[in-house]
Amino acid sequence: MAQAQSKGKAVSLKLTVLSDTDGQPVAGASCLLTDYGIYDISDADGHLTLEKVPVGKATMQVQMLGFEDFEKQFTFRKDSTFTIRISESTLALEEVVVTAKPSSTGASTASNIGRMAIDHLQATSLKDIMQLLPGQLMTSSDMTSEEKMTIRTLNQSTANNAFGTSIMMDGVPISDNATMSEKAGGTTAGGSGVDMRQISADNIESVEVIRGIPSAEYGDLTSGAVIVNTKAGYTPWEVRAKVNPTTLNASIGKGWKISDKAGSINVNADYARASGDPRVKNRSYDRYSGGVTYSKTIGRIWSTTTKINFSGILDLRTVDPDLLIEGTETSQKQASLRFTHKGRLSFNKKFSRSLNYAIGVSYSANETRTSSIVQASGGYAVVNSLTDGYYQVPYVTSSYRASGGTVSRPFSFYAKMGNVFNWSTGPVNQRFNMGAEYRLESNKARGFYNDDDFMPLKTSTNSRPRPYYDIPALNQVSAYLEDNLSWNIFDKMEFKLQAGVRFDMLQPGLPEQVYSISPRFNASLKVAPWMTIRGGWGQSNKTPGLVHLYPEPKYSDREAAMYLPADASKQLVVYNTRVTEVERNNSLKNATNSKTEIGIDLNFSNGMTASVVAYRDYMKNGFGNFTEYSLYTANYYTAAQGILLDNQGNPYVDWQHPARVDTVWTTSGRIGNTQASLDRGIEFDVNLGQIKPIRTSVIVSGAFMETQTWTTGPNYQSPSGVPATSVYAQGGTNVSPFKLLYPSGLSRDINRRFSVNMRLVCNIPRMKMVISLANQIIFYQYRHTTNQKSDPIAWIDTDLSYHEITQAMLDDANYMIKGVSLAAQRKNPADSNPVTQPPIWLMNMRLTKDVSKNFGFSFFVNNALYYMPYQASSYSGTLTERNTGTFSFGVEMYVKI
Amino acid sequence: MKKRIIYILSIGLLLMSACQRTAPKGTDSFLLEFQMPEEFKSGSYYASQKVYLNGSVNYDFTTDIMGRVSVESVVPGIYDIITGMELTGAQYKALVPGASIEDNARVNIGVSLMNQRIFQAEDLCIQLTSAVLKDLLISKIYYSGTRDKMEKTYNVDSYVEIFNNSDDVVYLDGKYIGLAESTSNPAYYPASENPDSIFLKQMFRFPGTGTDHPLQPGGSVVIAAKSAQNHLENATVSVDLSGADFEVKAMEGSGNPAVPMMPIISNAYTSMKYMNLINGGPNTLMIIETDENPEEWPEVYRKGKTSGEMFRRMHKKWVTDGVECLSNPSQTAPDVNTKRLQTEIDAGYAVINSVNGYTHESVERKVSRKEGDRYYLVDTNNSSTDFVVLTDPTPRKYDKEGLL
Repeated sequence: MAQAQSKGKAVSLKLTVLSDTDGQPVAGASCLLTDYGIYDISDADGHLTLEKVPVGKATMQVQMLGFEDFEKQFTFRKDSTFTIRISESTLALEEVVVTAKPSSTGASTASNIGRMAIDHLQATSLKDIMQLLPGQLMTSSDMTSEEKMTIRTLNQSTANNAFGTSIMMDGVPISDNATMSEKAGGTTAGGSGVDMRQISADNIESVEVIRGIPSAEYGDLTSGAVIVNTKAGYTPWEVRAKVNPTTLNASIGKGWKISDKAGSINVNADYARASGDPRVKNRSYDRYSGGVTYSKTIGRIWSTTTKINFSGILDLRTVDPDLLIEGTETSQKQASLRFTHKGRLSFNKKFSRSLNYAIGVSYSANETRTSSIVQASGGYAVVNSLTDGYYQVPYVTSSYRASGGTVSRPFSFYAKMGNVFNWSTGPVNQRFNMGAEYRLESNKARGFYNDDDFMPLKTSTNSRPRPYYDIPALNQVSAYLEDNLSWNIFDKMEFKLQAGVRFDMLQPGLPEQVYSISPRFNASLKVAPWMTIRGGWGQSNKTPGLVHLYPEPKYSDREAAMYLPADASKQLVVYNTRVTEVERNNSLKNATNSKTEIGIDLNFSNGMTASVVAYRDYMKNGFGNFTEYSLYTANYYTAAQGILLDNQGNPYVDWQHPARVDTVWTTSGRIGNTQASLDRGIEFDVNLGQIKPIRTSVIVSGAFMETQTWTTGPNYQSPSGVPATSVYAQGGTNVSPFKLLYPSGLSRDINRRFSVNMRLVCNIPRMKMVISLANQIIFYQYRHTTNQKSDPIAWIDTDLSYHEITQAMLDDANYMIKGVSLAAQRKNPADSNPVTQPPIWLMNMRLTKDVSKNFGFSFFVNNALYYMPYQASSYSGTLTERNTGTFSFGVEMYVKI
Repeated sequence: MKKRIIYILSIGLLLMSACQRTAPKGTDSFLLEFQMPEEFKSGSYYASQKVYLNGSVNYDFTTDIMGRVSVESVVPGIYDIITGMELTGAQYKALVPGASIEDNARVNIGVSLMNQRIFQAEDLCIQLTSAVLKDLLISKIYYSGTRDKMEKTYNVDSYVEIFNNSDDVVYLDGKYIGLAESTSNPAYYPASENPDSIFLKQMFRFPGTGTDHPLQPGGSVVIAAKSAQNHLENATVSVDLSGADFEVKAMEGSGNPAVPMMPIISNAYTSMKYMNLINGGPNTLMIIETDENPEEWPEVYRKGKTSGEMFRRMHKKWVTDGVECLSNPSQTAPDVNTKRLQTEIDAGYAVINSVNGYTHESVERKVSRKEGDRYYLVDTNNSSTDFVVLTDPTPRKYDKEGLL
């Protein structure tokens, strides 16, 4: 079998993993040759064996919970036995990493954030950790509002970037695909990305953020991937408590090794309470979470990790006692249960070095309840019909207390199977990574409801109940194949290529079936031991979520009669309702992001590293509203015509004789691929290494970023200058004589920012203390909405016929369309002014100290110099206070036994 | 704004100091010299005007080019000396530099000197006074809205009241109410940049063909801006508009069928079927009289824009009465730079105390005097002094203490 490994010879390695601190063997450490996917786990004596290792260079990774990662490149020429010493994670280490580290695995741009950095940051949720990435600004987390993760963008207005960020927790994605938009007063918006607040930071072991072109293994994403690994295996008792003006957080965790055969178990519990602004007493966010992880290795070749996690969230917004008149109370509860099981089988066969799989099931019960006083505004018709027609409706003149809520039950099932094998020919080694995935996501629940449909929570067409029962489940099948090629060209040069392709199909067999093929390439060339040039191009695709595929029917309600004599018993209010459903076969495509990047990494022998990467992310078909029209006629009846009185003086409608007949335009709630965005920029991360005499490392990271967004869907507008006395103007809303079609995408939102973060990390091992000073300077901030001149290209008549508008028609100053001047429809707006902000800096200070082996604390001050200057933007001249809300401080203590 | 004159004029100044005394000559051959009101530029004379001496015998004379009447002979007795002429606002401004007056206003120049004893030939120097003649005034604007019984904001009870301050019956038919654009900071079409034009977001026309809607002297009409209902049913402090004279609404026969529609004839917000009064202001209202068709006046976008809402540009000369109600921003005082009305139409402004409204504050014109049951309202073309802000909106009510 060994000879079957083509021409290259194979060797066998025997390793012993020892703790650097006390020289004791480390059991349960995993050792992986990243180039080949060959791995093993150390036994009680710290021994492990790697078989059939091709002769040549390979990178070895040894990882163990509570220890620093070990990674080194070796050249294997013959069977050998050696010892690896790994260091316990402690501040007594000569070098500690409390910042994000550029990732060295693969050729794509990624950052690794380890446990020590998370501790030092005193993160409460996953979102807090993200500020360590180049170009991300330092934030003070206030957990009272949803926190979404965006990658390489400055765009805050559309949800596509956050929706396209995949959060993988222990190998299983946390999905947002089945989230529906909350109508009852909560804050949840469907299709806008995972709320990061629900992921507790204390149980995280490490986080990897892939910002570049991810491996074909990762799918259902456009922006990037966040890979979260939580703790498993043996850990000491660990109790943490942190407090800052907005948040309280406490957690406890412990891992036991039952025995070599029975595996190990790790449990944790966490409680966080956030209240936002400490002066505001009517908002709170409570999170309870806990989990049990069971790890077991069966027969040395099959390692498994099984987790059950629970989390409960209570997001409360109660009546502010000082604001009695508002009277709105909203509570949002969420209870989630999540089961994941992943395993790896080390067959070490020719076409299957290791087989990995993951299964995840999650179920969440979300309930929002709102009670508020609904404003009648002097008169409001309660229209709650769910079908087309004319309805006599109640007319409410006094405000009333209404209540209702939303019940949502997102469910997801995920299964993945992957296989890795490698193939060596001389200096070329190839590792093939392939697999298939299946996802099922559904949300069958009561949805939005009013306690009383005649006293609805909303006074708009949005008041209709929306049950989720008939919304189909999402089915997604995917497959991927990837070749990781590494070629040692000369002794010092190494070429790596990751070439992969991924296939995703959503809703196979249904009218809305959609599929996409995502090719991805990453290449790197190690020109010298200290320099690597890399680049990549790839596409990634995000499938639409339930909110995009199955939008709520659109209810158009139109006043048909408003007969309101002083005697309320003789009043008559009639509304016309028109329901427009979105076609199932609406050709909604996956959102495709094309990523390109090129970068250079420098690693000097004195410990200095630098990496610079230029990127371009272009998504031309993100999810956005799609305007499509249909027309119908609606009658209007008045006392003068159409409303008659019977013998008792009671009014009734003479349906055949309306006072006015309107031709009404209505849209559907259709979502299309109409939102385009272009993100580009340069990121850099420079570690100047430690200045030994003062034991201080200097790490400078930053980014110049630009984001442009625009819409690409049909740009219809109503004509202006319709005379107020014309029949079209009398009809009120949505009765314009025709619609004009303008070119799309001429108006763009452009944002630019250049920010640099300089971190000084002083590490004093003898005091077991780390102090860091983070200076963030935003040198440049620019915002501009372009406002181009545009001429209509066509007009759509009320029979939906399309009429092109020619240049000759535009040139004719007297050209009229249905009595409306065409010349008045030519738009020549004054371009809006770009706004730039003056530079602003912010300094945050952090300190972590281990008082003894068992006890330590961290302390932080954000905006340590309380710098909140008044500055004026280039445009307005009005002085506004900046850095507001950045000042905060807090402390964390931990006990390890 | 001003009032209809003559009576007040009679109390006017009678200055004789500028005339020379001559020796008594009986009632033959004396001079009546009429001096133009003080504000007129020198060199203006009360030329070629009829002058009436009414007593036991009635005489009439005509002034010469110097504004004098040489009386040959009259029967001695007690006479009323009455004379008067009318100028247009434009003519008035030509003679009175810097005058603040609407171009198509009417100005009466004259005097009514009652019970003048003429028993000897004594030259009289008579000082004329001027007064702007106005019949229709905006007397109440209630736009702040209130809170309903559940303490929710309530703004459909707003109304505008128009008052006949003259002694003649005035026909509303065909007159207009205009509402100036109210785009916020910076003001898009302030008067300071537009000395001759006012930009309207809405115009409403009183229905009728000429004599359908007479308004008696001292009478008023109430226009429900949004809803002619009894709002006291929904809010504790509000107004009963079920008896309003007009209602701004979508169509005749909708809303309160007993209240006729006040049609919107020009509208920047096509789908808006009510009077767009803003709860916190600014609201700039005008009474407009014109023989042109306002629908033919040009429409313009917001300054610098080529799309969106369009405002009707009107020459200021068509305004017969205008009231500027500014907003009251929380951090600064009302900004007079945002005024839409030129000084001659409204030299000042009214303002409610609240920033966002819903405080049932009503802007009401003060009462000048009362004769029997008849009220005369103050009109000096300066809303800062002509109006008060009261918190008890009450249509048609002028005997409130706060108005005196």
